[in-house]
Amino acid sequence: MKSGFNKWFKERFSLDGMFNAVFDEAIPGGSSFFFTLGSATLFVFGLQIITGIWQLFYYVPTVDHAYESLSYLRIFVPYGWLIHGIHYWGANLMAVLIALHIIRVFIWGAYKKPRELTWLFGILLLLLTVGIIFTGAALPWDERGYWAAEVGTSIAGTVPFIGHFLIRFLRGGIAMGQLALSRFFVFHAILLPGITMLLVVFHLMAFRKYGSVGPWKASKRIKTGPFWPDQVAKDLIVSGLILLLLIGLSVYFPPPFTGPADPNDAVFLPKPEWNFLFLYQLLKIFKGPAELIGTVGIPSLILIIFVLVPFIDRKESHNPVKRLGMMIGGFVFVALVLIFTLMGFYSKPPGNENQASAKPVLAQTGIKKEISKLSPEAIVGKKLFETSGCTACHVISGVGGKVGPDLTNEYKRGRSRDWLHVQITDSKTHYPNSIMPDYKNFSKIQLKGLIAYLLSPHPASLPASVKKINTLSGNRSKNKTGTAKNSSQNKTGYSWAASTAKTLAGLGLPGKAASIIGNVELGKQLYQINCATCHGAEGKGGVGNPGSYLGKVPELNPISRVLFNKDPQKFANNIDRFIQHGSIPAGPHPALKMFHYGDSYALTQPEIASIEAYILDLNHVNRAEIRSRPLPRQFFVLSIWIAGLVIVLLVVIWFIYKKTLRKSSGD
Amino acid sequence: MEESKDRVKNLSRRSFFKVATLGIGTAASFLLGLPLIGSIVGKGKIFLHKTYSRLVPVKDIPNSFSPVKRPSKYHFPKTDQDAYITTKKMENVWVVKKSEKEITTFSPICPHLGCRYDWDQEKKLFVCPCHNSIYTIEGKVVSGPAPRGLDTLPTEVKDQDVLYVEYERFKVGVPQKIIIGY
Repeated sequence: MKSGFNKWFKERFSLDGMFNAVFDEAIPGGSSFFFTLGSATLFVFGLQIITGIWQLFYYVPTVDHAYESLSYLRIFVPYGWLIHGIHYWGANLMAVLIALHIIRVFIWGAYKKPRELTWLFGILLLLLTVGIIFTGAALPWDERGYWAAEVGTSIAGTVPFIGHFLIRFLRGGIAMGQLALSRFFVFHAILLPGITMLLVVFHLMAFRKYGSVGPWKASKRIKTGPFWPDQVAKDLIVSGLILLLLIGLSVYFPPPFTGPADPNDAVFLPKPEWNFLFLYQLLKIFKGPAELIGTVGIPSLILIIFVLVPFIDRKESHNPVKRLGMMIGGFVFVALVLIFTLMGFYSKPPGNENQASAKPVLAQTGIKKEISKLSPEAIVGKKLFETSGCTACHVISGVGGKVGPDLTNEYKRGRSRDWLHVQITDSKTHYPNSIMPDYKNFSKIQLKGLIAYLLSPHPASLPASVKKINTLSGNRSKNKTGTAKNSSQNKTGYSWAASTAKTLAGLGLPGKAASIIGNVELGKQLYQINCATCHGAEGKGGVGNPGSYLGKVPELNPISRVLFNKDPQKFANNIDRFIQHGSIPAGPHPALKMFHYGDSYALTQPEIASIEAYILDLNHVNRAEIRSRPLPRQFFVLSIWIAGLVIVLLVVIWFIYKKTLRKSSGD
Repeated sequence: MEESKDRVKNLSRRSFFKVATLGIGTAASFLLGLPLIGSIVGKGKIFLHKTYSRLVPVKDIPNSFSPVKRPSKYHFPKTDQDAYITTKKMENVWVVKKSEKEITTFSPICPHLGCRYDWDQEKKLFVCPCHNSIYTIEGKVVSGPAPRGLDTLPTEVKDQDVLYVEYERFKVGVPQKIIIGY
């Protein structure tokens, strides 16, 4: 019955020819694990196609939803983290495998006559892969992908003669936006993989025509081994290990959430992915008009050399020892790429390292000298300035927030004492649109001190060495927390929890930021710039807030139990409402109010999302926590069990096979 | 004799079909190819409407050279037209005030490769985080790969001393300042 159907089917449709063409071949010198690199690359490419298609069930290529749709896939969709993780790590691994494959082919001299075309198709495949990786990185439309694409396409725009055309072709216009994203999507998901598949077939056809080149010693090439099943088995072993590796990477090193693309961002440090780092480092060497050498010249030169390799090295011998020139050249090239990659990896632009940590921070050690110059009155004012939240918005000596104007050496602006008095207590008199809170609860002595401090000369900036994370506000909180806990349940019947709940109820709805998965690292930087001056370093208790019942700016680490929630979405919703709309603390005359960072556009929504991710992180809640079951670790255990089972099964079969062999030879 | 005549006849028939196939193929490719290519190359410019946005009263801009060397950054609402998506967002510019009469406004975009640069208060220089392009407060290139200095924007002072700026975008990565949109 079965053979009848087989016969009927084979008469009409036969795959035998294709099977023979693909698998039936003798390998000179027999199968080898060295020859598995190409098939491993193909295996990963296959995985990329499958996981890529699966992601398309959820991903949408629009600027306002790309990041959210991918976040949803990774967090809420069962196994979504796995599908995305394999795709992400698969892309990285594919780049590694291709590099190793090329090095292997280079050392074995497998590009030599008559296999030049196999090499050239391979180079084309390399270019296509670079294109796929570059366009794919932009698709999440996150900070990293967006800026890499912005810079990458800008480089294309500097190419002589065709640059302007090229950038328009790549971006669909002149600026990065929806048209660019759509385009990157089509390149990444349709055009480039389609061409790649075609070229893979060509690459394999050209390879099959003359087969594997085998070992370089002629004596070793005499003995041959079959491709099927010997080489295929080795290929599958490697592929199986790769799959396991990819699952492990997805579980234990998930791709980062870098926050959605924010074209206005000047804090994020854009650095390309590791596989483009050597080009990034090259870019820094060539400056000004010579830059084209780095951006276009050298990459083109590398490409030309790659193409010419089989035509330069035309000696018949495949033995690397007899091709020393080529080997040295290849070694130098690989070494240079590695060195430049490492240099790029460890490089930090000047100015960036102190940007994050130093600006908002008040230093204690260096202040002593400066204080000695101040009058006693001004010293009172200085303390007040630093503990009453003024530094949240105003900079003095390079320290403080950016919301309000810089007050360093205010006396040089010709402000009078009266003017400052009015400005502090009722700023709307001077500026009808002022967002500065009215500080009406300062005593006369306090106000005098504050004005004296503002009118004293200030150093232009504090030396970098004293700008340590050791903040005044942070230290102060230690003494304050004790008293604050007492005062939260004081005689007036005030309860911080009840008051927070009441405030929350009165606030507007969460903004867009609440539904965005932010980046903790970026959030930390932004927190230090915008929030730490009042809420304290790492949220550990803020500065005093006279006139409020609580007596201080509430700490965020740990945050009020009213706002806390194990569910990251609910937690984010709660704090988002404060950050978006601001709030007024309960009390007769609270000196400090929570500023409406969202409504005032002082921070963008992606920035707020990142700050929220950081605050959640401080409270040991992961904003990007996976909300689908099974959890990654559970799945990893399962896959290890399956892998173990397969190995045991194979060993058993191997033993049975050997036994029957022995039996049959015994008979 | 007859045979060879036939062959000649056949050949010319065949070569005619070859020419015809090539000709029709080429014509069809061009006819369809031009629109296809034309549709895929994006527009080179985005000119929405030229508007001056209100920034801040001139007297409220702190002097950027004394007492502290520090430029000011001002935000203003801007409507962005990205193909079929219109978004309202906050854009910003850097303002450097030398005196009441000498005010320079810089586009916030680094002319090297389009990142956003920032002011480094310690160095008293503009620093772009992407590739270390560094500029003075006057916008001149100090070091780094930037091909030109910071791009100045046209400003206007009206409504009793209020600074207005016309936001423009320029092509990056080239030494010339080429306007590509508003």
